Amino acid sequence: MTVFTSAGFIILFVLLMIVYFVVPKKAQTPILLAFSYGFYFMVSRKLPVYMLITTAVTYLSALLLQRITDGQKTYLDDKKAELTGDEKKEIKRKFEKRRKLVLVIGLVINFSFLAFFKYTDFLLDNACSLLANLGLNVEHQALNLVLPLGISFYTFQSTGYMIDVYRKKVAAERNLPKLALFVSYFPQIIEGPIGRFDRLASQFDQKHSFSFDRLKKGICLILWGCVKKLIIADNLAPLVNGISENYSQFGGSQILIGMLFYGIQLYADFSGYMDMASGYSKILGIEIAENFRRPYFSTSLAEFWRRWHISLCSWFKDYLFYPVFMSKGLMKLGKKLRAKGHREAAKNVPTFISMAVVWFLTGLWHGACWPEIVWGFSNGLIMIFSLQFAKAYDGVNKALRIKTDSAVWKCFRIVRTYLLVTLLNFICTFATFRDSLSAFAIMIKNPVPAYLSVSYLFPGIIDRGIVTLAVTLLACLTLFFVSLYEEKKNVLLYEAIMKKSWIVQGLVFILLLFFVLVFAVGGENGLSGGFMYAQF
Amino acid sequence: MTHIKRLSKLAAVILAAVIVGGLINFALVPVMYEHWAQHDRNGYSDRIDTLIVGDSLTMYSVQPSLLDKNAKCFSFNSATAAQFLDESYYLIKDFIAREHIKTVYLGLDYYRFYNVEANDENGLSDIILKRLNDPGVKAEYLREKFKPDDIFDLLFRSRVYSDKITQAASNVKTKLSYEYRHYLPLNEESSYYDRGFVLTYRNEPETEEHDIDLANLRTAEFDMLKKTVELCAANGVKLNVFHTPMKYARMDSIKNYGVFLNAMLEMSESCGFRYCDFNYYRGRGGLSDDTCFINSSHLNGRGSEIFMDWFCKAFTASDEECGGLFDYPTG
Repeated sequence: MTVFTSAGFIILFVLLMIVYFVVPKKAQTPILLAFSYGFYFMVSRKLPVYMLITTAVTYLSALLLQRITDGQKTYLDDKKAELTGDEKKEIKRKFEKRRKLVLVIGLVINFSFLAFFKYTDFLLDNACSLLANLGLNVEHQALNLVLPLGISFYTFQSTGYMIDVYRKKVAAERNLPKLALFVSYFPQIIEGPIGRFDRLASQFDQKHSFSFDRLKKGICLILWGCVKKLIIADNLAPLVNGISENYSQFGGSQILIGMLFYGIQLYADFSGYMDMASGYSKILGIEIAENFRRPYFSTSLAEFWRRWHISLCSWFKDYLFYPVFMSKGLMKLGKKLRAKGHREAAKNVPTFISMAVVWFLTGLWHGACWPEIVWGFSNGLIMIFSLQFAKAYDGVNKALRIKTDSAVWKCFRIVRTYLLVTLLNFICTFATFRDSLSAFAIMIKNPVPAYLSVSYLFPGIIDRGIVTLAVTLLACLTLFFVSLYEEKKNVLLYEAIMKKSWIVQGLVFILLLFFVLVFAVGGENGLSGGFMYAQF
Repeated sequence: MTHIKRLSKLAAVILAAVIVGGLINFALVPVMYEHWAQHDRNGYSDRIDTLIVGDSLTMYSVQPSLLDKNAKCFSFNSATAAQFLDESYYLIKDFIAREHIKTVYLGLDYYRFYNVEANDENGLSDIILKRLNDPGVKAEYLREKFKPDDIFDLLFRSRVYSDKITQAASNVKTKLSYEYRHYLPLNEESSYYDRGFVLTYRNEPETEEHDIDLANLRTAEFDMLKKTVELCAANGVKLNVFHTPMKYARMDSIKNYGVFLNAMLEMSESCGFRYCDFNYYRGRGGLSDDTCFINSSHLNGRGSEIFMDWFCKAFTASDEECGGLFDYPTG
């Protein structure tokens, strides 16, 4: 059972709901905070020590930043008449320096936990390899540190808030329980989304009363998330895992099918979690950030990344891409290039360098290993090429008289993007680069199925029976048509259903409920695994 | 008024969900022997003085009607497929609490003593839960076994049988049949016969590979057996323990079966119960591997008749006579 679908959690959530809606407004935040910490303990079986330290560091850093900002303002207001323009600039520079120092210390402390747990072994391995290449044999034993649950998510969320305070986008929060809840809010602690303080924490201030409409919407979302996670992702897992772990025992067409389904499995797993998290949060009256917007309908890789794991991509954009792009070094480089008359390059080179940095770190975020880093970097490279040759592509399209606004062309681009994403997934799905290349070679050599039998085409799933396979494929088709509907109408299906009569709503609820209860992986079929993104 | 309307709609949806859930359960949950067994047990409740428990090896082997004739008792076979020792313990406790039990026959399966992870997965069984009539024992069993996630399986049995959805039509047909509704035996290859005994004349070749080593036995099973011995002793119930015969090929494929056998014989001596391993019955040759077994380990109806003769002889004989009926390997 996944945590959101375990009976224990559901019972506790119902109890939380009762208490949460009965108590006065000022008690709602502490109750949610206590529940969030209890939830963290229940899921990780460990005390949330690092989360507490992160919260404390974030809280103090933000307060200090605010104090310096306020101090600067007060000082300048007081001395307004006495100071010259240059003196004011100098004072501002001094205060700025202090603020930067506080921010850097806060960021270093928060990121050091993440770096220590996630990257120590990776760094030591590579350092030893490097030394071995230089003729120095240094041995080290892997530390195999267990990553505290959700550390990537709450670290990014906290640091985002600190940077927002630094940028004066939000004021530092003086209410410690509120900030602690922002860091630890239970629906998003395992896999995100990475929330923004101004959008999420402001909702903690409001009084949330019980709403039947929100309850209906929330349950609908949770059930739909269960379909994605427990029926699609968990049933596809044996097919995908079997192929990625023992690819040499499979034919080329089987590897191709496995890889095509890997994308669906990953999406169903991750977005299924998000739907459940949103559903639970919605019932409590708190909207969490959108993390997926039908990414497989994207017509380019860049668009895909604007629609997949939106909160992470926008975090990287706001807190990494722009600071790198606006850094002194790159600004100077741009100016130099412009001075030499390379106007195009002056615009593109800083952008490309910033993108390369962002995608290198995106890869590193996904995993402390070279395949992930290469995967991230490859994504960045493809997008850089796309940008660089965008005009050339337009020229080719015009020369070939391709109707770029036609539905056929759009479909072609959607399929092309999906295949590109699948191709990139090759880099990081297998254990090593060599395995990735070998699997790819097998796929290219024998892309035609040796047999057209169900057991050959769907190894792994078929072991769970033909019914499971049929249900999984039916659920995949349903997911496709629901996404198509949402894409065309630009509306979420569950929102549309909630506008229909109560009989339609009831039927949809019953259909989803029993579809999940009967066919979700569980019972004699085996237990559902955890969420794929929970390891980050 | 709005609240009443809203609550009525909600009630209608919940009612519809309950009805749909009931219909799905009716169609998906397969026909189970519990339907007849519980009916029989309740019908004979005040007469049962002998209980037989164990897993499917026992369910297909011990015929209460034949035991009654020889042992002058009124027995009931409450063995179920894949029954674990602790489940047998709760069944014994339940029968002791509700009936006038004097003797218990506990059928063992060597596989339960095999030190393998699969034997750890012994969670809540709804079949055992159904068979427990005493509320106290039921509560104790639930306290021991219940995990919150079991609630889904208990409330909605179908989820355990979703892979058998193709049998839904046949389930519905059987459950609506006259025989099922009136607790009469079904005209099927394996059919509930009487007082928990399931009769079948199936005879299938064993295809499953079997390669296990009993050198290291599970201690938990012995602890459970001791607990069962204590339970019987505390209630003045005589306990007899046995292992049904298996095909020679199966016996040959088990490494160190002697370790299990010796452990059981030692325990029977120290704890004071009779243990009979019918794989070593002197007249074992009379049981044909070709015609008397469903597969490598389960007896069919033909085998059961021969086995019941040995069974009655072994358990009605004196200790000395009984010893002479078996040819246990020495060392």
